[in-house]
Amino acid sequence: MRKRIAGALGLTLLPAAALASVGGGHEPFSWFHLLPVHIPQYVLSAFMIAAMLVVLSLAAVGGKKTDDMVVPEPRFTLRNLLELIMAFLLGIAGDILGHHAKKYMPLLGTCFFFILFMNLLGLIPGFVPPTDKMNITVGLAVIIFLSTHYFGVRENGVAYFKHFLGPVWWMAPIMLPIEIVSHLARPLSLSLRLFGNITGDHMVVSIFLGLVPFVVPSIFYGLGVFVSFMQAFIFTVLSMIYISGAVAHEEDH
Amino acid sequence: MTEKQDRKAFFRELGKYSALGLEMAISVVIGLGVGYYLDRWLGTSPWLTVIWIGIGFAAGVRSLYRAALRSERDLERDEAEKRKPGGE
Repeated sequence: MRKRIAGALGLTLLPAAALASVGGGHEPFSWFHLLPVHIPQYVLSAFMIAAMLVVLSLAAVGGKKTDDMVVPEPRFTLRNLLELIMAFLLGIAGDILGHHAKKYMPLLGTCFFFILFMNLLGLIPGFVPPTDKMNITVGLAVIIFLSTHYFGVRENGVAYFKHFLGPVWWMAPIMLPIEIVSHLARPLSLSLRLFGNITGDHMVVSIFLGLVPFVVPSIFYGLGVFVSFMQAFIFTVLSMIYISGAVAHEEDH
Repeated sequence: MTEKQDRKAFFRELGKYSALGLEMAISVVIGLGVGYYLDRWLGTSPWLTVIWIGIGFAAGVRSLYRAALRSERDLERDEAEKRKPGGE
């Protein structure tokens, strides 16, 4: 028994040791280096998270009838956990988007869970969070950007583009570039914020793991969990705000 | 109930304002980039850079203004909702 614990401990400390011994030219240890493929590892881990989410949701709701789903399960199960998080998100979405919130929840909820688990993956030794590559975060932000404008056109028709022209017609030549720049700043700030926070957090953990392998890094692991939740949440809330700005029917935004 | 509403409003406002700073900065940077490359393309240095930095700054202020409008409306609605069930 003790041997097994020591073995498990050694296995988990292995990446830390590999990380600590990183010299010039050596890449940090990663489980994906064990695979005989040459795909960038952030792509592999993002796919892994996506597959994991599919499996989780199938395990939680797969094969059950809608009538059975009305009654919550008596104990604390996976389904209850997911429903708890979704109810929290739906509450905030209802606050921001009004009673149309449920229409946009498939996109927003998927975004939240995908980003959350990608962030949390960085806390497992030997994995790199996919969100510390700009490619992934820009991809997510571009999806939000395009779907925001798609929703806007779907709700308001061609009149949606009038918002870009400002309140009075003679100001349109000035307002058009201003509006375009301020709309372009949104996906950039979304992706940059997520990328920066996760990269910084991952770096802090790895540096402290290299300096002091005991006790001290656990503080930063706690911080990492907090940052992971917070960034996933902020990304989702900002997407909600952008979508609500696009689909609003009033003139005052 | 009201405590829950307060917490929700807190999270909402937190998300909104944490976006603002970065958005304003990035607006200016986008303006700078557009102006710089237009200048290089058209050979009108430095005028388009100056104009587009101004546009970028205006875009930053525009998003600030939009957030302020939203915030005002949301807070007013929250107040109205809070007052409704009890009755003054």
